[in-house]
Amino acid sequence: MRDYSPATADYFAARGPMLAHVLVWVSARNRATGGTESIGFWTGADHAEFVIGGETRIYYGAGTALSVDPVRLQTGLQVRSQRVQLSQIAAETQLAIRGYDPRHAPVEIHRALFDPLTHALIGEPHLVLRGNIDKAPVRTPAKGETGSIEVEIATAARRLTKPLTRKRSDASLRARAGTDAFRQYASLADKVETPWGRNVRSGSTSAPADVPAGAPKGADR
Amino acid sequence: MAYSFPLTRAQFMDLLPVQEMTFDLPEAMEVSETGAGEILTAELGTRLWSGEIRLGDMTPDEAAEALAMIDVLRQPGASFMVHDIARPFPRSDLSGAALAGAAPVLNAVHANTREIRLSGLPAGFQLRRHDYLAFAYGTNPLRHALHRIAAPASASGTGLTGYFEVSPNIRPGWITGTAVSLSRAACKAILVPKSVQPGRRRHTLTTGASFRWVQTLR
Repeated sequence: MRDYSPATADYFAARGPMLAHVLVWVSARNRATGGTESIGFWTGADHAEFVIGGETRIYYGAGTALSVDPVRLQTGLQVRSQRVQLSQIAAETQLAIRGYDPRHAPVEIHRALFDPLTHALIGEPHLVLRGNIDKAPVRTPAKGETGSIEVEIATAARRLTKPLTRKRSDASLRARAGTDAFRQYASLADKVETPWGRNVRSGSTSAPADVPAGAPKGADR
Repeated sequence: MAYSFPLTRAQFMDLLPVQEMTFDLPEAMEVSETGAGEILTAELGTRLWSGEIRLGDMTPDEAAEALAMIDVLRQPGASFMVHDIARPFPRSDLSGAALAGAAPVLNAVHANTREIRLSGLPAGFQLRRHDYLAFAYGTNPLRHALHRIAAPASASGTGLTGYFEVSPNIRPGWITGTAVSLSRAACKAILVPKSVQPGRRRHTLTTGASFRWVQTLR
């Protein structure tokens, strides 16, 4: 259930014109450095700053975000897909989709409400959908037609379908805790033969001469 | 030297032999008609100035000047400054003489973003409904705001007006003290793609050239 602020709840209860915009926030990967690059688009007229969760974010406007399909809400853990259309020409969307690496990039969609007469923001924009980019085909239209980037977003429940192997790699463990080397050789484990009772280092299959038969040794694994 | 965009008034609008021009601020809204017959509205999108310009019957020389510049504007990314030719100056100063030495600036914008105050006007200057005002704001690129006055105002002896209403709403990004243009107030616009009619030449006259334009913020 969404928990609206009093100002937002009053806004919905009042009978009057409404002005709502959709904010899309993409955290893509920098192709060169691998760092996270965040960029936001909204359906408003021009670039604007919004404070969301204590963080000031710049959302690029002026036609970068064209439209958002109706958000479908349902219970349970099913993965839904949500489509957002971005301009295929605007410089900022080019940067996000072509410049950065948008593969599986986390996406947040917020809704911002404004007073229709004064265009003042009502409360903090509230979260509508969270997910990851699934597909982002750039549709170049025929001459003189309009095109778009149809970003398909798989909702956050998709993260639960991540296979176990993805979580049990050295990289995923280090992403959680940088010094955790427990699975350092996990990717090699099934390829290295570790025979017991033999000296692997010397390559011989017999026990070394200086070791009494039956005595365990540290080098033996 | 190659033209840089937006094309200035001297580079484009002054070359056009305009016969008809519309200058409009269409509504941007969604509607829903209730069972009771009532029509409810909500804003959807941005209100931008738009219109159509029809050129008159042109001699070959006039047509050459105008049509060549329209071609320049038909390439991607091209824009020009457009003003309402029917109302180049405020209604109280139809020749622009009173404003000639004045340097009006934006004094304040009310919190409701619909009312503004100007200063630096000639003492006692009258602003009336339908007068246009324009100012620049923002960077990269420079934005051009164009607003039409919806409530009359008059400047005091020091050139300061009270709050008066304009439409559309003032967009965020304005800075107090920005120079405001009241004479030939212009906004940045592009030609609507596929809207250009090049006109037909019959004997010596070119007739029927027209195009539509729409404001662009960036």
